[in-house]
Amino acid sequence: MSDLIRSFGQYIDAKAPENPVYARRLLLAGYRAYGLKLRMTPDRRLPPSRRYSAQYINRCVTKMLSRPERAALVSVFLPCELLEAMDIVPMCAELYAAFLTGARAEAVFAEAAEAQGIAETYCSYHKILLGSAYAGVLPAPAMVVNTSLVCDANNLTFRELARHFNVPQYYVDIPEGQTEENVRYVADQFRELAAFLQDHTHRKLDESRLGEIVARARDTLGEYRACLSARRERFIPGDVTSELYEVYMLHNALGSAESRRYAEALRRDLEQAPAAKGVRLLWLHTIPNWQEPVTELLNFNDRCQIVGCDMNLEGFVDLDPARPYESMARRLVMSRWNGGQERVDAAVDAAKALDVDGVVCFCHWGCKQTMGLSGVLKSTLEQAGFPTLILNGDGCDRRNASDGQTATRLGAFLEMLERGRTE
Amino acid sequence: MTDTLYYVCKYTPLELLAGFSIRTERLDPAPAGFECADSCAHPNLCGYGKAVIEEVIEKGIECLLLVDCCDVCRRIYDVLKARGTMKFLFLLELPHKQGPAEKRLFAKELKRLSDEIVKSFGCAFDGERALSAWRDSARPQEQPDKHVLLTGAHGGRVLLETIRERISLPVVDGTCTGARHLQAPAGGAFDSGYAAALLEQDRPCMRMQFRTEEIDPAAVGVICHTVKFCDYYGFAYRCSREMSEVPLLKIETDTTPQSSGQLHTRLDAFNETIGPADGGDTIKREIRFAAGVDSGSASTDAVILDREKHIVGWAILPTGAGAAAGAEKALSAALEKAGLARGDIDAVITTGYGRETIGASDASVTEITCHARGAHFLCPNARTVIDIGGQDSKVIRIDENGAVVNFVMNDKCAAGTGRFLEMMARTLELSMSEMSELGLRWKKDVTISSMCTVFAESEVVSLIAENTPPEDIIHGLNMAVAGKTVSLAKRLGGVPDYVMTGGVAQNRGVVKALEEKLGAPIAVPKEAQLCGALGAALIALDRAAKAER
Repeated sequence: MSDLIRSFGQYIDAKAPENPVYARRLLLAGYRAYGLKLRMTPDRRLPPSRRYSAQYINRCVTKMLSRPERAALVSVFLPCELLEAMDIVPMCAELYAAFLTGARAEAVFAEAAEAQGIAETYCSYHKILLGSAYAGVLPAPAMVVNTSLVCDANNLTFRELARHFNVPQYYVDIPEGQTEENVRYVADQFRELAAFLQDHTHRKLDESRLGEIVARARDTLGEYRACLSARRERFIPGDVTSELYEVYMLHNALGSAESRRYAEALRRDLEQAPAAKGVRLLWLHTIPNWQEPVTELLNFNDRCQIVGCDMNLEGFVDLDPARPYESMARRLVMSRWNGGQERVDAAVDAAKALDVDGVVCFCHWGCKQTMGLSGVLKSTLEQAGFPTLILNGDGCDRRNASDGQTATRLGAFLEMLERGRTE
Repeated sequence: MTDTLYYVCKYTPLELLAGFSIRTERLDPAPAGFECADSCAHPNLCGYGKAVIEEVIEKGIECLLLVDCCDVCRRIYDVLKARGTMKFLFLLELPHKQGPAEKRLFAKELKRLSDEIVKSFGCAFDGERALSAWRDSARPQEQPDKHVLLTGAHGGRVLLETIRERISLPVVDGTCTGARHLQAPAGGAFDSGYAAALLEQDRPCMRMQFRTEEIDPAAVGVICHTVKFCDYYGFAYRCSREMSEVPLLKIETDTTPQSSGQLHTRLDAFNETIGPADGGDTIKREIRFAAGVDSGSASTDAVILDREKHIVGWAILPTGAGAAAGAEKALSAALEKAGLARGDIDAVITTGYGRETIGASDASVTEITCHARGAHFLCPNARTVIDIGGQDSKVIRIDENGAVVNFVMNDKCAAGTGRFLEMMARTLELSMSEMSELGLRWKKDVTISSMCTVFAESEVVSLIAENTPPEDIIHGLNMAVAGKTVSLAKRLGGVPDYVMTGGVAQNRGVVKALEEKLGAPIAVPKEAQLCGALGAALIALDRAAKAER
């Protein structure tokens, strides 16, 4: 399979510059074929919930590529309840870039962005997305909607792509202070966003449907809270890609029926799972799921697994379906990723709640948000008794990471944690 | 508390602070290295952020007002707060938009700052003083008619001085921390209108969603400064590139004095592009023979031309430990080949990295201008010159007269340069000429993902371990170098005819890979490696001819 994907990526690499529309069709066909494989011969090692998320997310990606005229390009932290209520397809920037990496086709797009003057040190997810737009492979969405949370790339990529595609943009500004006043400020922006969406789609928002969606988001978060309690004591086999799929499920997909179905299935899987075993890791930030040393050490391994990723632990706030705009705003303003100290405290809380043996702080290439905090995260977590590894790498661009270095650092850290468990 | 309050950003409410009579000073860090910052933050933070952390720790600064301009400023705050040594540390929240809600929010944020100042500094607010400072900041600013605009990320005093030393026209500082001008107060009080004026000041920085790129009609050239690992100003450069009709130079620094050689080359070449072709040199009118000496990082080349522009002598020698000695040896070897004595040479122009340290020359010209002149002489239809040398690669756009229209250079790492190929050849235990030949005989496409020399070397070692034929590995390396170079060419808007110069032009595998990626043929003249020295000698003759006229 990996040879086939390698050849596919090389073919896209060759075709994208000369015939971008053909390259896009090929990608879509490739993802559809992969979706078929996921349905016909799913990975039996995964529990049903994880198989479901893989299939659903594959469908989301094929939908965003096949129906761009009904899509809004969004950042991963943007609450999409309004989009769901108005049948607008979220075209998640980071998910799209990660899928290009999955097809081993990221390099040509990263280079296309660099050729346009985008810094080599820019976040690779955003660079690949931009490059695929410049190359003509990313289809024009109907609009762009994003939030400033949680990194600077959001301030640049989406503005640039709205300009590039000449489509309207709405930007949700999130102040760092976690105050009720700021919740009101952001809620008013969501009200403006509702008007923006109605203006540009010429459709009317059904407020009662929005309330139902927020209620579903609330229920999903409730299910997921129960899952976290269970994960402290249970072991479910998994792979790192499933952790990343969960990021989409708990952000852009939150409020959808599929997201709730996933959380319910995950809770059932955990109820039937055996007791916790092996080294338990908390992972901070994105996971380089394309990198062999990472998948070899962390996929379906009884000796070691990731029991939580802090991207999936930041948005547990109380949602009120009667106040949908305030609910969406609260998720952003009160996000545990909104503010450096808040994120550090959240990591310590998660490490304690999940009873982990150690923490990996993954410094994704170009992410100043995490890299700049990594020293404080490490010292605070270690003071709290959690050994922490700062692992430099890239979540999606093979050019910026070394397999040898990753294997040595991660392998040695896991050996150290294993030794700690036996002593 | 009587300490100085340091600040970094142009959105700092200096007028409000003036009302509190607090001594303020802009932090303008230029550290020699990042020992402290690398250990308590991360090496891949932007150079400016690391420089601020370094400066605060090194100088024992205890009062700092930061603005949450970017992720790095927020992380500076977190890192310094965690150290627990600051007496006053405040992160001012700045909205990204400028609507009425944002202005109200920002006014409240300024109130929060005022409260903290009163609490920490114990001083009272004088509205008249603040209003007077606001009026001062709203005074019209004079701008020279014809100037070079420095735009982009914070450059600081050292960079600005360096640029002013090397650019012959006045330089206007339009960087994110440079241009600060507020709208005047509407009434006679320091009121909530101040928050709006501060938020809406002229030339908003890149993080503001309402920023639009504008052309400065009086600028005859634009220098766009970016900082390594700064997200923002690559986008500004991209917009300037699309809009600007005047020469545009991109420079990247990390706020330390490292790589000043490369910076000087770029600035000098830019000055040659926007300024008069000949500088204040001493070339005499009548000339029998002219020499050009190109002191590069790997080799020093010399060319001697007669009045009719015939090459009568040349040499290519390793530079060795000293640029001056290397240049002397190369010139002597060329003289020997030409059968001439040193006294027969009437004009010498030096170029290359060592151009200013060689001495005993009539003038020095950057290798950008020299390669352009040499390439035009060798291939008059050339419009884009690709020059890959030992430590850097350049792409130069030239006009029908061989004058530089614009150029780009690689950043300071070795990726995509001759040094990168040399290191890979060493790993494969091959000579450079063997590598050149073998690279043409590949059978299977191998992708080298990493352009970082260290990572690429480890990929090559893995491929060797997998018994991948060296021909295929070399082709993968050639394609990687070509990808990097074509990326530069696209950034510049390269157009045919292409000509390649510099030492790597001898590597046929790289040339073929470049042709494939560009989709156009590349001319490689037999004097490709001598092109810089040849251009220097030609410029000496040009200047003499001009003096004769």
